[in-house]
Amino acid sequence: MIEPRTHRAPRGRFVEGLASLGSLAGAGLLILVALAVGSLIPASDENIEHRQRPYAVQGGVGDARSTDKLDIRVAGVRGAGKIKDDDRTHDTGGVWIIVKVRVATRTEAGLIPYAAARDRHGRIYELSSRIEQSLNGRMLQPGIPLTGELVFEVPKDAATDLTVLFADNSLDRRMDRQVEIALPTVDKATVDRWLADAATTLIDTEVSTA
Amino acid sequence: MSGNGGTGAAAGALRGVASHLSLRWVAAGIAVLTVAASGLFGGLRPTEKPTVPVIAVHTAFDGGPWTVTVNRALTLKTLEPLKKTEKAGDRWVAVRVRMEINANETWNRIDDVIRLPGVKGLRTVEPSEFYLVRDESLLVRELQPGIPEEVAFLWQQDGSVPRPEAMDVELWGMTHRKSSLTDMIEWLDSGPRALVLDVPVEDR
Repeated sequence: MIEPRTHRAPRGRFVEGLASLGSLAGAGLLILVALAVGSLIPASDENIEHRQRPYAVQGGVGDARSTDKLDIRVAGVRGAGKIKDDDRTHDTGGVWIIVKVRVATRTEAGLIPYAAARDRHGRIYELSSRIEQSLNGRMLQPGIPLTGELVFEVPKDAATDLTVLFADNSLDRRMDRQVEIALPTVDKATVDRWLADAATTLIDTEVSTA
Repeated sequence: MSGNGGTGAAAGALRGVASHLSLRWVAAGIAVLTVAASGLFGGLRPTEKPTVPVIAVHTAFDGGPWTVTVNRALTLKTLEPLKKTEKAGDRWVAVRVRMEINANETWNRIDDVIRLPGVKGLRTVEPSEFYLVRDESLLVRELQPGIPEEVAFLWQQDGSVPRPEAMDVELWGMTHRKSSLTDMIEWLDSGPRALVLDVPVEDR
C-alpha cells in the first residue's frame, strides 16, 4: 500500500528571510571571532623580546654564580662623584658605581664578554670607556680567578637600585644564561653623600689573584 | 556552442604561440610590462627629497634615541696634542652640541647624529672624531642614557677649500619600531630629521 505523500506547507517569505538573516549573522560572528583570535597573534609577537629574554641566574653580593663561560662573585660596591684612574680625574653628570668582582673563565681563556648595570627602569649601562678598567679586555685563564673593579657611570636617580649583569655574548643574549647580581639598595642621601665628597676616589687599576 | 568554440580556438592559438616563445622573449615581455606598470606611477622620474623641519640654534631636537641641541660651529687649525689631521694642512670642522641619550641603553653609534651636507672638502661624510668636553678627550665613543653631555663632532676638511663662514647642520634621527627582519623592537630608519640653517662658524 502506498502511503500518500504528505506535503509540508510552504514556509512564508518572512520565515525564510529570518533563517537567511540568522545564517548571515552566524557567518559574521565567525568572521569576528577569527579576527579577534588573529588580533591576539601580533599582540603576542610584540612581546617577542620578553619571550626571548635571557635566562636569569640571580644572586647577591658574595654569591658565586656562573654563565656558561664565566665563574663570577661580586665582592662589594662603592659609589663616587669623582674618580681617578692611572693619570686623570673624572667627574660625572651622574654617579660612578664601582663594583669589585672576582671572575675566572671556566674552560678556556677569554675576556669578560659582557658586563653591564641595569637600573630599576630597565635601562642598561655598559662599562664606562672614559677610564682605564683593569678587567675590561683582560684575558682570563680558566680556573685562575682575578679580582678587579668594574666601573659604571649611571644617572643619579638610577644609582639607588642597580643589578649587575654578566653574559657570554655582548651582542645577542637572547635565551642565553645571564648572571644578575642585585647590588645592595642605597637611599638618595647616600648617593648625595657620594657626590658631595670632595675627595677623589681612586680606582684599582690593577687586578689581583687574591 | 559557437562561443565555446571561439574560446577554445583562442586558447589553442595562445598555447601555440606560447610553445614557440623562447625564455628570452618571455623575460623581455615581463620587462616591458614592468616598465609600463612603473610608468603609471612616475617611472624613473626622480622623487622629491622629503623636507625636514628647520630649527634654530640652541633648540633641543628629539631625534628618537637622543636629544641634541646645536650650540656652536667652529673651525680649528689644530687639535694637537690630541690628534693630527691625516693630511698636513687640513683643518678641523667642529659642531658643539649638548646631547642626551633617550634610549634605554648605552649608545655607541654617535656617528649617526649629525651631518654637514653643504660643507665642501670634508674628508668623510660622518664625523671622524668625538670630543667629550667634560674629559677634554677624544677617547669616548659612547654615551650613557640619562646623562647629558657636551660633545663636539669633528670632521677633517681639505685645507685648500675656503673656510666656511656659516654652515647648515643636518640632525639625524631614528625610529623605534619592529624590525621586519628580526621581529624585535629596534631603533631603525636612520636619516635626516631636522636642519639648523646658517650656523655661524667661529675660527679658532
